[in-house]
Amino acid sequence: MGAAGELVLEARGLSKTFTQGRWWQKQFRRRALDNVSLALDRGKTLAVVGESGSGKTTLAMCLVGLERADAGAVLLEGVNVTSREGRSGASAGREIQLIFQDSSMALNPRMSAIEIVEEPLLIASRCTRSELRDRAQAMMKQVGVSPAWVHRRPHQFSGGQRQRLAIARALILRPKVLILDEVFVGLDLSIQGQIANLLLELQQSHTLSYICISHDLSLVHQIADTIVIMDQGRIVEEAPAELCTPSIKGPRQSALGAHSGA
Amino acid sequence: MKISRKAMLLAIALLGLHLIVLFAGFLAPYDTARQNRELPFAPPSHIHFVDAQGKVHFRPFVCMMVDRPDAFGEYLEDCHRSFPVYFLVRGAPYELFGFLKTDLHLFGVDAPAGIFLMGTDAYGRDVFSRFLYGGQLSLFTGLVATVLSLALGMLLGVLAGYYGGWCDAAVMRGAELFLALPWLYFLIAVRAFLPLSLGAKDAFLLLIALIGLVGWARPARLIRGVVLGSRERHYVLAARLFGGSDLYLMRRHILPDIYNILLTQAALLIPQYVLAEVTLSFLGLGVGEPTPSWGSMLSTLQQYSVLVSYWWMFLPGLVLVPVFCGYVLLASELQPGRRAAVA
Amino acid sequence: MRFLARRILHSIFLLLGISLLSFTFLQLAPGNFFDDMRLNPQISSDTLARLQKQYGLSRPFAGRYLSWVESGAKGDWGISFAYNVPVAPLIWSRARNTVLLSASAMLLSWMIALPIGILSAGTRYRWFDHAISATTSFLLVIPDLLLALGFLWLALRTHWFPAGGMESVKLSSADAGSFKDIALHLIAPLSVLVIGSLPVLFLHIRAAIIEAQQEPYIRSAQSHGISSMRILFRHALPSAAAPLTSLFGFSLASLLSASLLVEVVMNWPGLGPLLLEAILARDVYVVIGSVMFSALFLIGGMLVADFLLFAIDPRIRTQGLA
Repeated sequence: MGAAGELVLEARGLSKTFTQGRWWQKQFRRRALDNVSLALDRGKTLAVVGESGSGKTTLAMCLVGLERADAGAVLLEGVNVTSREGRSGASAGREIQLIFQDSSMALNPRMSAIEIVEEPLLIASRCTRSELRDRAQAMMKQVGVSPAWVHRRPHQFSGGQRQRLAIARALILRPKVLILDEVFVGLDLSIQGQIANLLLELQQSHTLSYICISHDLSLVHQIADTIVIMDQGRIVEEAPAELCTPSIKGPRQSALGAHSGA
Repeated sequence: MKISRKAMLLAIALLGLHLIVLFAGFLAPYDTARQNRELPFAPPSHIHFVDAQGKVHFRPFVCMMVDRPDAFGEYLEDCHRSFPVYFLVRGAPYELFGFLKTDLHLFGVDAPAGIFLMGTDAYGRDVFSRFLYGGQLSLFTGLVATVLSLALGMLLGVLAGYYGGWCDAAVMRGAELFLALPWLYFLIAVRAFLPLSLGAKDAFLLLIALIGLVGWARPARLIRGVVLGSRERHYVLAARLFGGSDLYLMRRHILPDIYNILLTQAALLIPQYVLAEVTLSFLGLGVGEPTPSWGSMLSTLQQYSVLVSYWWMFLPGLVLVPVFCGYVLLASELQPGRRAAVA
Repeated sequence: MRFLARRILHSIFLLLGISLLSFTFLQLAPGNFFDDMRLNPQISSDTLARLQKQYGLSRPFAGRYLSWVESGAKGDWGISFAYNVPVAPLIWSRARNTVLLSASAMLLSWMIALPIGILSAGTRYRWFDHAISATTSFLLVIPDLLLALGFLWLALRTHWFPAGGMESVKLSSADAGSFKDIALHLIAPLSVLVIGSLPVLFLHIRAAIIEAQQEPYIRSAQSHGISSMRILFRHALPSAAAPLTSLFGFSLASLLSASLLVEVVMNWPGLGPLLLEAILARDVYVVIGSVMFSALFLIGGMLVADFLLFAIDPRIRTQGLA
């Protein structure tokens, strides 16, 4: 429980350029992030909206440490965590977690549900076997997956349930920030609503801060406090959610409004 | 990973074959070096159940082989005396599995007759006994060399695929080099420039090392391909976020993807390596006399007189066909395309 | 064009790599040509030392490698201890025969496997496909060694064709060494090589074409009503060209190895028997020269395949223009 306006995650001037081609060939540069800065308060939800190719996923990767930004800094509770290597999971990385878009690809098809959820604990802490099980089961209950299904494989679950498992897994290490990368894609509308509600509940109970990435403006409008719009690697618009409705006309917004139709 | 019933049956059959040659000492009536100078190139013994008087015996028996008086090098059966075939006899001592000292053999006959199920060779040595011991050598060289190749291929393939960059480039260029080599040329060149006359055990180990070290390239490339794909899976990225070390990620998430490849490659490589050993021994570059190997047993066929007249000398070669058949069928059964089931 | 230049450069590096590799291995090996002489008490150790010095066997690795490359520029590629002649002409006289045998085998097996493979993949009559596949699968499991011995046996029993050698002995036959004579002697080793390589070739070709046929654009062509023959030749085949050309390279490699064995068993006077002989006598430079030549042949063949690929597959040509 922190005071309103307490900064939990901040990005300052993040830039990343991808180059294609070997050193002796003409190289093809693609600027994925161009001086992106944002700030997330504790307990709040920041939505990042944009078309595909606007740099949303790259932003997510840089924030979480899976990609290294060429320039800029990421600060978690004031601590600079940008120098994390993408490959070895430094402990700072665990405070920010990422939920991927496609849940069927984010869960190892060979592992059972309980193994998937307890994996972070297995790696990160020194619990005993039974402690692992207990905590994992408790987490699964919290996200609404029946304990009778602990031994089922991912392909035996529906898309919505898989996302719940992914959320359980991400939350079991008690992170401070959760980045949701297009987590509603591919789900039925009603399921989308259920997941959204679950996320809001968990945000309350665990004091989480969310960065919600999506191309669907109307959906994030319901759960976000602030909305940021990205285009071609840059932030082009930023405003509190109340002010963004599909009726506001700006060139990007109306285009997005058209995308997220009904 | 599901294995079809057909694959299981094939695997069991092949296992059975390997067990048979493991028990070579027990199944072979004679020692491999024992010569019968008076019986060079004798044809396989006829097993009789009916004697000269037309009486039927339950216990099979053999007759003496004597030289034909009119033709040089040919034999006649002299059935005045019948030599019954006894089972579980005491014979020449040997070491079962290399350490159990015993002298019990499955079957045998009394001297001076001999029971030569596959005839004899130039020195009168029992081909059947040498066939069994030779099988030990050839089959197990193939097996162990395959394990070596796969281990090396797996190590390099995983490293190259996982770490990428210059490690990947180095391994791939190296693999290209090894794949571009005409393997037999390289193998015999390297083999023969190591001491030619080695003790049997040293030569055996050397062969295994050589054959295994030459063939790592293809499995490595395949494994690297799979690892490249597996490495980017979202569940791997997620595990990395939880703080999973490289070793953990490899062990838990990436390696299970390559077990399938390892099995199919094993089924493909083993027959090739057995053939490599047979070829090397055939050329005189394998294990030397008097240790038998299927290859060296076949090399006498290079003399045209032997080739035409003594068909039983072909047998060590003919047995390769069903062995290869078994492995090739097993490999095609294990191909991922056939089994739709996952996990 | 840049693609081709890259491939050529690549091949040169490969050759250099192989030469270094071979040289290194042979350097590491104990024993040299004069080991036999060492056992002879009549030859003094001084003589041996002098001989070794003369042949440069006691020089350090780098020096030997460089002077070997240098002699290559001169056209010698080292000297054969056993024959006492420069290596290059010795190898070339034998290599000619190996190239004759291998190239004909390569040509023949591709000429047979390609049409059968295409037919088998494209035919509507499944029984044809199954029959051919079953036969080739059976041939697949017969090792070349057995085939070679079998053909020799056949030749000796039936006298349909000569059993081994390349030419008839001049005393026994009037037209020994003529084209017809060599052709006759070619029958046995050629058959062994072709029968040995045909199954693998056929299976790969058939698989490549079947896979090309699964492409979605083939399906849409079918639904347009384009005849299956036209689809096969104008659409599926060029698409399968890429894996087929890499197959060409691999088949050449295995053919070379097979030809070594066949040459030894059937007494074909090619590089194989020479290599074996040199090995047993520890004639270092002949060994290296043979390995290098076979590598050259192999890499050259792969280069030809790359050029073919470039000509056939437009995707390779336009790759640089992304």
